[in-house]
Amino acid sequence: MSALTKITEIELDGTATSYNITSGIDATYRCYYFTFQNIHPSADCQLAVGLSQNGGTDNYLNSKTSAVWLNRVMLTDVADIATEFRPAWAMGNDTAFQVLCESIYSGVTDGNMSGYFYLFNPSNTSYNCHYMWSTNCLQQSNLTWQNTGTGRMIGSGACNAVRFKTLDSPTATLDAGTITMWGLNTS
Amino acid sequence: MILGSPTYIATHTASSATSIEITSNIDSTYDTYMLVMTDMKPESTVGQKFGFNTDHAGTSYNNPHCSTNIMWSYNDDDSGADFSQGAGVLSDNSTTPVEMGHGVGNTSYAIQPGIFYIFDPSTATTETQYMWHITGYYATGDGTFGCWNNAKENGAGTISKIKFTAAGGSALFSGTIDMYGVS
Repeated sequence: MSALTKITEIELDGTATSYNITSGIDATYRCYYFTFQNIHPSADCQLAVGLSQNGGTDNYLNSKTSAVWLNRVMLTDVADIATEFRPAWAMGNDTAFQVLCESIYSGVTDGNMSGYFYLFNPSNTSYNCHYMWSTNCLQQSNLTWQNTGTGRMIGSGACNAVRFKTLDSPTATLDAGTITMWGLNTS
Repeated sequence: MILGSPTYIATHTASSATSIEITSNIDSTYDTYMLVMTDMKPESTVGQKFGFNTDHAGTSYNNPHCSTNIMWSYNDDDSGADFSQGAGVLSDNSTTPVEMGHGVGNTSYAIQPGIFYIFDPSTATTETQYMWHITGYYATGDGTFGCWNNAKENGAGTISKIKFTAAGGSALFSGTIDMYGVS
């Protein structure tokens, strides 16, 4: 039997700019694993994550420190490449939402973002809650853009809820794709 | 990312110990083994690096390895941006423990979680490969760091044991490693 247990699956349907997961993140699992599949927005936008210590009533604005790097190539010109630190998305004890990907191109229906996000032992109040992720998306119609990062929530409170939301476009909704949260069994 | 369909095998823990040794269940049952590390925490001086070494039967965890990495980091005070190959944690045919990342802080809440893979350890005719993706509390500057690293045995042979240490085995640490087989 697979040790991966599906806890929550959100089918994105274009009705919202953010999606919250406010249950199921607790001491049941030491490792939570989120997958992003074929996420497509209604307008070009980034996807970002916020972490909460009280089920979301803190508006997911807990301080975080993160380090991020990018790896991109232009689809029509493989000489147009970059692999470098992404200072704009790094966060030093910052309450802003953490950007998980470059702006996802909305102009074609088959362009999307996919990737994953880990949350380690979020209920342990002795240590900082750590996370890491990697995503890839179609950006500006002609770039494939990978972002990879790691970080930690400042302080030692438990993380018990997450919000995934669009950034960089005030009206963009997530009109297709799936966000799934898994727990990794230890028995 | 989590590969395939993992099956839980066992949990290994350390509490003020100098090592976590996994001495069973690494065999031909699975092609890939996944180790999920949580709360890996040094318990003495600042800046200890976690590492590992492996064992052909009877080699006492001194197999030679080569390893390389990509590491990145950023500090709580918005300084210290870095993305580079960590020259200090490369391994070139060395029998000392393969260093896994930067030194971890030893404040009361500093840890290093991550995911570690062992590929095909039971094929005697190939060199076993390793890959790990970790996130940690960076001792330098009170920041965060991440690593994508990999390593290989230098020389073909089966691997049945692996040992994780801090500061080359001279330091105490605590932590949990959940072991999975992946099919």
